[in-house]
Amino acid sequence: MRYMRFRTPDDEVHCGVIDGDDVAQLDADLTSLIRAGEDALEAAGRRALTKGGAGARATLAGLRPLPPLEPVTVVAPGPRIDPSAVRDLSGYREFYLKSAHTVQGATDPIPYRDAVGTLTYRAQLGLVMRPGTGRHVPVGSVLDAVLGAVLAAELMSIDLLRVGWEGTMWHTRFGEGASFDGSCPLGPWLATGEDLNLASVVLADASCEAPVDAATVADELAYVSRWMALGPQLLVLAGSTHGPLLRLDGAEPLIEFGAEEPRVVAQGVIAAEGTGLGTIEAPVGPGAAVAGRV
Amino acid sequence: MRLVTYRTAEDEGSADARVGAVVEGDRVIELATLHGAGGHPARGGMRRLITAGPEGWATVRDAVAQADPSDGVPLREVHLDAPFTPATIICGGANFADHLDETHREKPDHVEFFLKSATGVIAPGVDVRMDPALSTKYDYEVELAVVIGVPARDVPPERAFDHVFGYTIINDVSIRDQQVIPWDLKRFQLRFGEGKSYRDSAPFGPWVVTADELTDVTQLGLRTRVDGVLRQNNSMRNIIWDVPALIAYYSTYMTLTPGFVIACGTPGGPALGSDVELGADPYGRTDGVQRGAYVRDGALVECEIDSIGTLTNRYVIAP
Repeated sequence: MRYMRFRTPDDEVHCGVIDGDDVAQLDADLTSLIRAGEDALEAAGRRALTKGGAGARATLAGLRPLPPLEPVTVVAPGPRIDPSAVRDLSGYREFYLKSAHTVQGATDPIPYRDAVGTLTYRAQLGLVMRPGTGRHVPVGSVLDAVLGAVLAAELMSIDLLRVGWEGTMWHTRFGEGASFDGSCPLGPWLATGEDLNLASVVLADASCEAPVDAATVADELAYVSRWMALGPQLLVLAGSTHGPLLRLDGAEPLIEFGAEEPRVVAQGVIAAEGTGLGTIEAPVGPGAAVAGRV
Repeated sequence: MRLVTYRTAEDEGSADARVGAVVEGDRVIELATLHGAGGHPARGGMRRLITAGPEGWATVRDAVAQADPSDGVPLREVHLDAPFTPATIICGGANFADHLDETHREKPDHVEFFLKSATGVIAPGVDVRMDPALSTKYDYEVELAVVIGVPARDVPPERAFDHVFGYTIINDVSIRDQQVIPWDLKRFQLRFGEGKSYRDSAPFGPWVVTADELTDVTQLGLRTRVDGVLRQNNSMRNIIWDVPALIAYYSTYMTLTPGFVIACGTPGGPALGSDVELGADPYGRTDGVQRGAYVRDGALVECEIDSIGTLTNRYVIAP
């Protein structure tokens, strides 16, 4: 099934399950259902669909999608490792966090500000795991624990996501470079069960169109699970085939964005698509308020 | 006000905790009992109180001031939860000169800016479970935690305190062999994801002292003791980027919303400062701090900040 949260033209917030051109309203909060697990989520969806004309419905067109998920933390894969490096850089693999407040709806304007400079973005899978999936999940079985997936358009700042030195120590500045307001549009829906086939998902953005490599996704999930328990409280981004690259420039580490990476500034548009996951299309503009949530 | 999230004996097994104010005689008055059924800023937990804004806080403060302390329960008889789960934890590192010196770092142009997952938050008194499959170098870091109460975007330093709800303590538990990765003979990569966000990585509490009660944080002493031995000892007067500077800097890139927590950085003295293998220079100190190894199984770690209190957790090995 495909689930979404949305705002109606009357400015009411609801959640529902998509049924053709309609959305059948759920009788419980979507975040609570996701945290309760697959059975509760599916049961709520069936209840909404079997109500037929007796249940509350909204026409899908005309609804403003809200992020389907309200994760506590968003985890993203760090820079790709330069495969042409003479020196083995695989030990410098890392993940980073994006603030949960960066999550916003698929059509919400990105609140651009000059401080973040030139933006880039990539289409990603956003993976939600079943409650209790836990830690140290083997790579061979981790995909079995996926509850659902959502499309993400993960934004970064080309100007700010760079290596910073502190004497003898360097790190990648993910704080400034990847956690600014609006840097994680999600949606428009969460695909689960029969509506989710990871093997058939093709992610497309302004840079490229490429099928998701399930092995890479499984590797990323298993890697993160060494540190953090997988479950509905985490949203793990994975699946993109491009993005920043960790290179060696002589003996110095360097974060590089290739010429093929999209460049966006104020007045631009972010557009991404995922097979079975819908599309994200968000204008970049100044000054939109970020409300946060309780 | 000193605000706690807690459970009483009769709450055992309940999913819901209570929010209270610690009043005269170290008794806890439950905020929900101070108002009628018409609603209360603290119903729904401390996060909801934080988002109520200055008017909501004033309502609660007035009600607490009129409460009869004898109506409360003794603080020693309640079980404290973490005060709340932060919306986001922003960490500012490299912010005390003695910590830079012992780790051979230079003051960067900008304060460190990394995030710590709120899924790692644990309550005072809960064990930090050290996973030997993950790390053998578990460490401690006492830090002042600033709780944002009013949305902050592009805030100038002189207005920063207008956005603060209150303060508490965070122990920025770190696993150094995952955080500090040798790059060459003398230089290292810092990985803030792997080194700072995992199970039990953010002891938090024991309570929030509201900003109207703690009006000056510039002189607060910060100390950590491990099994009673002083390991960290410094003051907020020695911080490099102070609270207003941190709020101003972070609000340049992100809107700090109610429930955000800023961890201000830790002074010298964590075990990392004695780890020569990871580039440390464990110079001798004359302030009573004793340098030591990483936290052993069963050790009691006490992070203390003046005018707030002490956050205590035991570290135990648990796969």
